[in-house]
Amino acid sequence: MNKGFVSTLEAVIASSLFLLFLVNVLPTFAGTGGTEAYSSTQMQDILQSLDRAGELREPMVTHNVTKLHEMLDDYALPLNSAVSLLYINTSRGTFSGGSGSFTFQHEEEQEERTVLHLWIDQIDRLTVSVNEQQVASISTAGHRAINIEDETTQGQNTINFTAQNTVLDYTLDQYFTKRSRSLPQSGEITSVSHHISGINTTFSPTEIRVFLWE
Amino acid sequence: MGVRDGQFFIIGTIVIAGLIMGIVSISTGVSTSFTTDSITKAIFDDSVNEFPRAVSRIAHTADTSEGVERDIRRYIDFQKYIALQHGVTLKTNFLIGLPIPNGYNVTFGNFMDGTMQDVSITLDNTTRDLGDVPAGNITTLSFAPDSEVFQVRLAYRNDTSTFYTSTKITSYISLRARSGSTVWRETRVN
Repeated sequence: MNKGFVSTLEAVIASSLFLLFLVNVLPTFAGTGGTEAYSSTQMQDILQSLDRAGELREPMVTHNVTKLHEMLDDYALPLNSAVSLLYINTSRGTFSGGSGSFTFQHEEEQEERTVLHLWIDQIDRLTVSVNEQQVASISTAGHRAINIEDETTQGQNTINFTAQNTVLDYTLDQYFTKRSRSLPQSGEITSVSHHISGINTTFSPTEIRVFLWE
Repeated sequence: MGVRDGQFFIIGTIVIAGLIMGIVSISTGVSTSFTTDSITKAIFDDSVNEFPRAVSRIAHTADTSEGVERDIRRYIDFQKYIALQHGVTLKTNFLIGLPIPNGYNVTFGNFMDGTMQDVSITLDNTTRDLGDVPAGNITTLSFAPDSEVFQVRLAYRNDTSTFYTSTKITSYISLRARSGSTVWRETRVN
């Protein structure tokens, strides 16, 4: 065999190796973590664009996760997606001394946070209990926020105030989640978040989370 | 022994393949960290952009500055909670101006790391000293501006923010969002 033929053969082998690398090795290597990273960034932009276009707020404040999932599912392809909303249900009241109580319903699977805000104008000494477990003993006026999710149980719960010469308003913020579908038990899931304060003149803080996975 | 042309191509292929893999590896790493940064940035943007809208909505439904104080506190609590769910810490101080009959109420809130020292608010030529404002504190002051357009100055320690507004709902927010080593800051007046 002459020298030129060997060189040509080696050049062909080199070109084949390079093509093999481009076709098989590079896409696998580049794909590690790339698709989800790109898609989550893209989904973040989509949420903000849809909000600017006025299409996101109405289904968010009406807690319509099905509609939101339908809106966003195509944008998530080829990844799988799920949509969840975090919103607040608020109860308010006033207490003016002696002993008082109010009840509320707790949904274990849907409620992720329960905060009792107290706005105390006058105070002698105030004891706050949730389901007969004392959660606070307060002797100064002003605002207090008490997380009570650990004391709440599934179904009906009771908050008791016991005090003399005390005037306060209370606000119970229950943070509920609503999800369009369940998430996989294993594998990497990325999430994207966008939150709003309400729609038009309605104050209704709500967060949308979009989950993406392969 | 010299390298023949064909061997040069094979060695060249291996070197080029290595270079491409190296470059892709670096760019993949950047892309992944950009995702974390982008979530921090998105939460930060939402918080800054939505604050004046929240103020406007709250002012529309709350009867008094006390009502505004309460709902804005609940709103900031909500924002901080959802930010924390994504590993982002939010710190803020804000100022809200609300027109009232024959005057203008200014509500100031500190939700930074700690006490803000020597805080004062000046509206035109009237200065009110708030002294040291602890974290989590919200205070409302009443002013009686002489004109419809006036200057507001918020000062604490060596920092001063000055802006002009009129007898309308005004919001000023200074926000810091942090996730790991990524920090976003902005001050905005609406």
